[in-house]
Amino acid sequence: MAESVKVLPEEIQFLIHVHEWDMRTREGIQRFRELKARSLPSVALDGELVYEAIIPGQEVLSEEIRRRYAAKNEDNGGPHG
Amino acid sequence: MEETSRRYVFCTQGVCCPEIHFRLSGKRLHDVRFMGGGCPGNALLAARLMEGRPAREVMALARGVPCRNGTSCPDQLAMGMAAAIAGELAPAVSFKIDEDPQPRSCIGLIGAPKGRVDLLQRVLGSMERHGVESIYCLGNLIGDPWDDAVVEVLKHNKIVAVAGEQEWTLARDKGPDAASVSDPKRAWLSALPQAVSFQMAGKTGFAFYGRYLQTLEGYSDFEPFALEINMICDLVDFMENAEALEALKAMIPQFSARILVFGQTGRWGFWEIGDACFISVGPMREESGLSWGLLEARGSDAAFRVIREA
Repeated sequence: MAESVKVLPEEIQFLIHVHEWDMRTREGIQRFRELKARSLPSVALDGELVYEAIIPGQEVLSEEIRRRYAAKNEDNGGPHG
Repeated sequence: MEETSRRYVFCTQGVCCPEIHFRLSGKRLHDVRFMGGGCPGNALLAARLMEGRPAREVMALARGVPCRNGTSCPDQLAMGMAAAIAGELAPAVSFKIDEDPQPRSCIGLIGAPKGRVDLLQRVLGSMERHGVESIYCLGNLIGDPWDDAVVEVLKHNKIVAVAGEQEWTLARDKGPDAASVSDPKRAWLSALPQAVSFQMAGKTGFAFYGRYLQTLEGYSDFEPFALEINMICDLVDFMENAEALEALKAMIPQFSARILVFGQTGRWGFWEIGDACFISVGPMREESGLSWGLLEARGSDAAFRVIREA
């Protein structure tokens, strides 16, 4: 999963912090349950489970990240607000 | 003179793999495993090349190897080895596994005898009639007050007694009943394995009591069978979290064992998920009578049923 994120365009990677949870560990299992995920792989954005049982394509994932980033900055009155 | 062999788990800083496991036997290095991240191919090759070499020779080669964050996996290994040799890193003592090497075609499972020797003898008789070869008893072995007879029955019948949380607590001199346990009894409790691994129908089986294993000092998410324990205890709550069964199925290909047996819930249960089967061991004594679990090899599969007798 982390590999598919590493190949995202640089301008997208600049917008995000990535954390990969290892499902073999107790910490990873706890995070899986906190997100109320049910299958693997799962991708969460800003703590919200967005993709389950799929690895989204680059275009789809990039668009979703851009959309969320724009929405957050709109809520905050823009990047300089 | 027998060399002392000790296993260590070093928690790393600044590298891809969160843990490095290794064993020092005398002055030589063995069983190096870089766990949880990094390049598995290079790691495996490095481990093979280091196997059995003098520890100080490996440390000299590994120390200072650069990669990222001013360190590397080999550099972290050198640090771990130095800490172990200096006595600053304690040996990892996690759970004890009794390994049953003989492939079995018929295994009997007992849960919570609670010191009832009379009932245990009846169950053993039933097992003999069913051709049981090997018997595993999961936890809650002794009653209150302690009856030495149950220990004798377990030993005489070569029953593999797996420590449950009760036995572990008493062995550590804790709990409300701890004061009544003599030193010889505590020694017997301390020597009990906390899990058993076995072979059946060409598959590896693993039996343990429950969640307390994760609280043992030195428990690592990457040690043998820890994945199975973590999945059963935390992901699916001993098969009670049905919503996570799909995720469990996705993780099974990484399991070492395909027959998983546990005792914590005290309820009988059997599930087939993917190519693995999961067995929950219930109590020996139920309202309706006695019960025990019969696990049999059927070709390339393991079949399970509960034997109940009034």
